[in-house]
Amino acid sequence: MPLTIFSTLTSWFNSLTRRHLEWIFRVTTTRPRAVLISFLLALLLSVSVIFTTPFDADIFQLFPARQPALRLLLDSLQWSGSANEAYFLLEGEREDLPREAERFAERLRTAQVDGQPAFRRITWRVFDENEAAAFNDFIAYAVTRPQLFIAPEDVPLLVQRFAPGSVDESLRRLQADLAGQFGGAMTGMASADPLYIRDLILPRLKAGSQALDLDPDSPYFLSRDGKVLIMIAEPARPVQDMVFARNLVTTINQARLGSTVAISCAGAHISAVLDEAAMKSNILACILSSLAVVLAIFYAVYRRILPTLLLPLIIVVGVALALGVAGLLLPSIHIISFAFMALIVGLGTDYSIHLYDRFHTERVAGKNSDDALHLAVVDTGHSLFTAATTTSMPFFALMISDVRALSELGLLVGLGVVFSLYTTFFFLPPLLVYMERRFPADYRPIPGLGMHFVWRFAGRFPRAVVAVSILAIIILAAASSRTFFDGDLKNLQPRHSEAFMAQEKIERHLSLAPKQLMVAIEGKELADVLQRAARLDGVARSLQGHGSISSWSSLGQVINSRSRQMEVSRAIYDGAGGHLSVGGLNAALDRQGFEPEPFRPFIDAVQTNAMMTPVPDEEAITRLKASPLRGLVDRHLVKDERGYHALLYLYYKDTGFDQAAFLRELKGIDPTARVTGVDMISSELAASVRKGFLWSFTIGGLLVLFLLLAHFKSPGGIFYTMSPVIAGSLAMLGIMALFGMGLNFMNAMVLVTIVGMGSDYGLHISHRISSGDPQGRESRFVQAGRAVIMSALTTIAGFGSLAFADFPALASIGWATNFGVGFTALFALVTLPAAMILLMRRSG
Amino acid sequence: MISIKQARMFFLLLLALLLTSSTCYARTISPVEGLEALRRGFTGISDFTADITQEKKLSLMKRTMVMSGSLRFKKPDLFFMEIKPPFNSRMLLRDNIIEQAAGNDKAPVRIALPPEQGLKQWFLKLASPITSLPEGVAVQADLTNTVYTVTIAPAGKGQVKDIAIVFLGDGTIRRLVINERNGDRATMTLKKVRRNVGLTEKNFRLE
Repeated sequence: MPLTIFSTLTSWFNSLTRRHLEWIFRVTTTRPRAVLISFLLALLLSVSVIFTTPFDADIFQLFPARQPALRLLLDSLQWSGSANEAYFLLEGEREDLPREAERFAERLRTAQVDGQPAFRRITWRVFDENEAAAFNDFIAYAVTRPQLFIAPEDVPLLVQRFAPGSVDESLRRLQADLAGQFGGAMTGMASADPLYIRDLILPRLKAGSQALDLDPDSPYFLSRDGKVLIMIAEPARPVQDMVFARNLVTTINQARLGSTVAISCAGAHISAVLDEAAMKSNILACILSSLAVVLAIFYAVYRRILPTLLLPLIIVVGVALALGVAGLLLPSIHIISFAFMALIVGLGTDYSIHLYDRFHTERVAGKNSDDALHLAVVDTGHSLFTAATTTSMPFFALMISDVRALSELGLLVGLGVVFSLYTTFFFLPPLLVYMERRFPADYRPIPGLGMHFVWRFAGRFPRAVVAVSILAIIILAAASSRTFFDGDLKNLQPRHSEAFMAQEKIERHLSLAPKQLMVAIEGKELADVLQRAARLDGVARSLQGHGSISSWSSLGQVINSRSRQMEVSRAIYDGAGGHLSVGGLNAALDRQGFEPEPFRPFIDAVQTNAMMTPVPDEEAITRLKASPLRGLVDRHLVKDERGYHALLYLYYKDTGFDQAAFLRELKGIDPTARVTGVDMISSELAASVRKGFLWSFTIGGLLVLFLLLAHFKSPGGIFYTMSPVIAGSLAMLGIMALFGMGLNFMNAMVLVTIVGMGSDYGLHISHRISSGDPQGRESRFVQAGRAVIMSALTTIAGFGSLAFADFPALASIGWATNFGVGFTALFALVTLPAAMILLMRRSG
Repeated sequence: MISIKQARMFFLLLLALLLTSSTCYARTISPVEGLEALRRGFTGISDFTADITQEKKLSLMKRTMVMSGSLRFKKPDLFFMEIKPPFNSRMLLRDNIIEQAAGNDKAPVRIALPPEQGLKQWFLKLASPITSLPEGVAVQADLTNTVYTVTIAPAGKGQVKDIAIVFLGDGTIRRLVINERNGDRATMTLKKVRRNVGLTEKNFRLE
């Protein structure tokens, strides 16, 4: 019963397809003007939609932002403002860099865009001497609140500072310091902290504020090797203002003219402008070069000007219609998705090749124009219809992926394939009719492109061909077991992009450790957030103690939580026998010849016993924010409309840190904590791509299977169609593994693509070999084989041209396609006929 | 602990100190001429040593601090100063890196100045004759008998009000005086100045 239903369904589908193709033949040959006007209207509508569609260039928008790790990364970029900052890397000799940095900073400071300053601020010094007074104020506050800033283990040292002998020693040191100066410039700091309590505080603050691995001997953001100086600037307007971003880049280029050191830049504005330009030129170069190659191939084989010139028109109309429909369905289109145009150049040409090849062949065979065109549109058209559907369906299936890069490309290529097919169906027949009437010419046999030899060779040595093919498949399938997934997003970025290279240099010269993990503890109440974050500090401290991580930083590393403050206060109470006495200090000041009055604020603060009660978190944060150390707060604590976000950073090497164990421990301590890091983002994206890919593969595969069953109505036909694809896919993976190429977020979709595209080759070959009389098999194979080899070449010229793109994301698609299409075509053209000949001989 | 501001001040003084240890001849001079004479005199010096006495009147102290010590300099970028007990301290400057060990401190305090404020850069700036007043300072010069006094006042509202350099016509430095806006005043007197004595790297170590 189910078989009957299925058979009825496939028969109905085939009949519908045939009637549809008959209608196309009729309408295109009898009412060509109406067809062209309809297309023109559709084209105008599409163009108007395209002009109103927003296009994105931000690489992060290609990936699902709802994934926790990526979400936190995007949040943190927003919080820190890093998403909008510009980074300048100055490379040169240590002695030249500061001078050039000063000049460059001055140029940036005076740079203008549209009559307004281009940058809000420019930072390149570790310490700004204009903030010395604010620093003294902060020290005066910090040394009288040791419970807030001193580690519990340092309390004995603090208590010791107030012991009579130590007080005298500190004051003598103070005298020596004052004497050792040429002037009296340190008097402010001396009166604020006569006992050098800051020695217990400043190292903690320094450790906590370090985000880059900088030369401690330099007042600039200079790498330890002295070769790279980094400057951070905040552009006046956000990156979304592309006109501003473009003008800003022009301004930056002018500012760095004439510098004696190399200056490169990174950041959202620069990436948006430079990467967009690089991406556009990459894609444009691919499209134009592939179009030129495709046209050259077509003309070289068929020697007909008008059909050759029609190809670009078909591609342009197919692409425009696809973009127009996609523009209606999507809120915006990413610029990288334009790579689909290169794919359409390859795929869209196939239909013209098959259609024209059949028409030409039938004319050579003596059929009149109408009959040849009818056979081309209705008979070959049926294969093309199935082929286009099997190609587009897996692409459409990619739309279920939550990775935008895949879903958007899936929709665009799927639509592009469908519209290219229909543009071919509607444009080529009227053109051929017009050509026959206006430029009647003799149809000469088309070169066989070696297909006669292939057919005869396969017919003579079918067993050997099949055996060698099976052996090759086994070897390459074994090699494919070494296929790996390259989840590193960096490997998808343009290698020669200035922004990318600058980022690489920052990591090489200035990063604290090769890897970093960021943990966010969040909540509405500051005290609660800091208290929870303090528990995590304990874990980080322990990990560093065991050598699992290189270092860590958090707000808790520099200011104590409430419980830790109480611990410190208790320790002070216990150590000092109640409270710290300033009686000894008063006497010592007198004894050492100091005026007591300048020290009064310090003495009064200690006498009030303020260090016995915890300092409110808000007060501590406010004080830090008002000091030159405000960056420490900005980096570790963020407040937005959702509440407070305390951030902890772990720095670690490739080995030694068990991330999974840490995440488990973190979940136990704070189940709501969020974590991000490059590894986590990559693995989340890999899982997402894998999921989308598997679903697309399954859905696309089932659809292809149904269409093939409908087309062939027998398992044999499906076997003939699918075996080159399966063999081609295994060979593609095997050869990629042998060349050290991995699958990544982008080229994984090629596997899906190969199923759709590659099945066409087997479909055309098996369709033509198995239909008709046995005597005509060779000529039919030659015709189909020539079209297949042409299709493969044009696809490689289109898709494969991406292999030479500077964008590794695009290049990886290109290489995978070249291998996949190449092997699938090889198996379809050589192994498949040999296998069919063998089986046909066996069945008599 | 020294701040950048202090260090910058230190450089101004050091520069004045180094320049005034050179030979000058007596005549009535304009500020530019005075500075140029100091610069020119220094060209013949590769190193020097001196004993010093410093008096400091600080708002923090009841009495004027009086201390003695010695200093050494070697072109192009080495400077060392030692103060004897009871205010014992040692300070070493290598171009733009200052290291200071006060009292019995085992680990010296280290501070890095912007390289353009390093000793080398200062002397590079003095490679050519001074024909106009440097930006950001006001200079006064007078000559009494054979004693020159050049007073340099930095512009702005920084802590230092002015620096006075007192030296003899034969290039022997007598005194350096710093007046600060809060009333603090430091006076350093140099004695036994010996030039071109062949100092080596070994003479510039903190330990």
